Amino acid sequence: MKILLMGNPNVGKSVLFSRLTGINVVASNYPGTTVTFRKGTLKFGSLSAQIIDVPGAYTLDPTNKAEEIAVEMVKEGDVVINVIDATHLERNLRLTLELLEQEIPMVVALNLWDEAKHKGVTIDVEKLEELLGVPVVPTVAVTGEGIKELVLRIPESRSQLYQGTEDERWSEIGNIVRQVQTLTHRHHTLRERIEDAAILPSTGIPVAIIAALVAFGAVIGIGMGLRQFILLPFFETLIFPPIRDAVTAVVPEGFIREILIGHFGVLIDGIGWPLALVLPYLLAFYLVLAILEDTGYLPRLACMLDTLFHKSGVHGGAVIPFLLGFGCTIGGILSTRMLETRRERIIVVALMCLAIPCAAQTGAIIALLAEKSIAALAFVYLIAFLFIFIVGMALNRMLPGTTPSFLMEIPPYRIPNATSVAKKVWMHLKSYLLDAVPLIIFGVFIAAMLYESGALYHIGLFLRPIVVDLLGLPAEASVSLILGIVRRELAVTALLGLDLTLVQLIVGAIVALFYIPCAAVLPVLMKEFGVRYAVVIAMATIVIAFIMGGMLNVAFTLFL
Amino acid sequence: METKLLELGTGKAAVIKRIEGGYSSQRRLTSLGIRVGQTIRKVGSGPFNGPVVVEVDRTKVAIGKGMAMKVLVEELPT
Repeated sequence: MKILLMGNPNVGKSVLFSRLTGINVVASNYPGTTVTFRKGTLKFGSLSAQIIDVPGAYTLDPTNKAEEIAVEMVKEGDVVINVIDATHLERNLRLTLELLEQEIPMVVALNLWDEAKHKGVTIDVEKLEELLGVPVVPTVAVTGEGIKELVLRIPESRSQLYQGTEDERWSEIGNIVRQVQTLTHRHHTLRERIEDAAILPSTGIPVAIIAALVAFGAVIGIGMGLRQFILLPFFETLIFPPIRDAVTAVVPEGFIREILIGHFGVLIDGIGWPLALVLPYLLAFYLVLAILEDTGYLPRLACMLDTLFHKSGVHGGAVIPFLLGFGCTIGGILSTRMLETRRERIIVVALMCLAIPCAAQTGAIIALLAEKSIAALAFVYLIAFLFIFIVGMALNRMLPGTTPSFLMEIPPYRIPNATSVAKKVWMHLKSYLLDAVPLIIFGVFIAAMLYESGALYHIGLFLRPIVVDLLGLPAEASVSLILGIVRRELAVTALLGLDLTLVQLIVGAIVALFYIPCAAVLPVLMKEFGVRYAVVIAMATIVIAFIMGGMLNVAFTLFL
Repeated sequence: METKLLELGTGKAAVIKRIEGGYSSQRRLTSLGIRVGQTIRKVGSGPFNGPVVVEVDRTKVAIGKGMAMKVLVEELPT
């Protein structure tokens, strides 16, 4: 049996999914967290069913890619659990009636029941059940309240044919809401004033600036703290010396020993880069992102940035894919499915692949620059942001079509739940350890082979016109361009041991930033946008990286 | 008297009278509860001619400037 979880965006489907299946998934406080479907198994007594978490949809008449996916899924389900936000009954019932028209057996989960009570919304559940003709169960997915009863009533799910035109549907909804819902009048609360403060210009701009500074500060502060005071001492005193001793004792001097513990040693850099260098920043970034996501501030930030973003051909909603791109480029690319047009998606993804460093690369760039000069770090980011803005404007002019208007629900603030934040951070960490770390180790191994075999010397000669003449870097830096194809941060870490001047560091960081996003991004680009687009992005990132690096090098040599 | 939602005063309540514009933008608005006959309250608007934020059915919705020009409302007496 296939059970579909369906409902409007941001009503708690993903939290319910975790409750039903025991699988942790990412849930946040903004519409459109789930842009692809996920499957899990529900086992309860004799009942065993496949549960599918469908992306949120306001309607079965799709307005974006994520909703299209939702509509296609309906055909495949045996039962639908329609998740409704009890605090916004009227709007949510639209999808409910549309689902009833599909003649698929259905149960309604009246979620956020606690928040509704809190807000003075009372719903007559029995009456609603009678009017809809399908079981209705109040739930609080976050605490688990009502979940058992929901599961018990799945066998009672019924299909109930409803047919109507758009207008008839709304008047039917009006009827239902009038009969089942009572609202207790309440005054504007302090909480609401605080919520609105983040949108209104006079207070919103300072709030956004403070939020950005605190977020950046926290990522850099926590990351550096973890690295300098915990991870680095730990690896340098407890892990690396015994490894060096053991290898020296067992492996005779020569090629293999150098591969293991020499320059780019697989057992030294292969462990140190992913775990002592990248990991602390990745951890810090996802911690800060999880807190930001769960508060409900991001849609407000989107609102603040809308006018500015419009100049680059996208609306404020694009800030969410951009922010996710600062975590992982692939996650960022997938989340562009929440945008309405292909044109917007193309602009956002192009800018992301070029100039938004993923969390791993951020960590590497901070390690490369910040320990020498914080100003250099700020400069690199300033260049990246300026570039994004200017190229965005250019793409907006070049690509045919117009930018759709911003339209987004602004959710209430919620206090982030420590467990859910911890779960999210752990999920990201786990996928980093399992998927990325082996690749990084592989990258280090390639570097060691090239270095020790002398191949790097020849590659250096071959790339000399670019690396030395154009970019002003030492010939050994060409290893960065090779490793950068594997992973974004390897292009940066490869420069770590090279004793570069400040100018060379900045040029190197800029080239690494604009250079090809990691190898894993290319298949995703092909799948989402086609082979041609993937090839164009790959070529453009290489060419632009060299042009930007070259221009900076020339500018620095002329003016310094 | 009909005014554009964009021009409605902050804090004012109004009834939606008409929504101009194409099918797709109408549909996007409807899906968020912005439809003819609904009562809304304007919470404010974002900086530099930013989106208009309204409260409708106890939810806040941000509506970009382009769309807010096409939503025609009639102010309710306070």
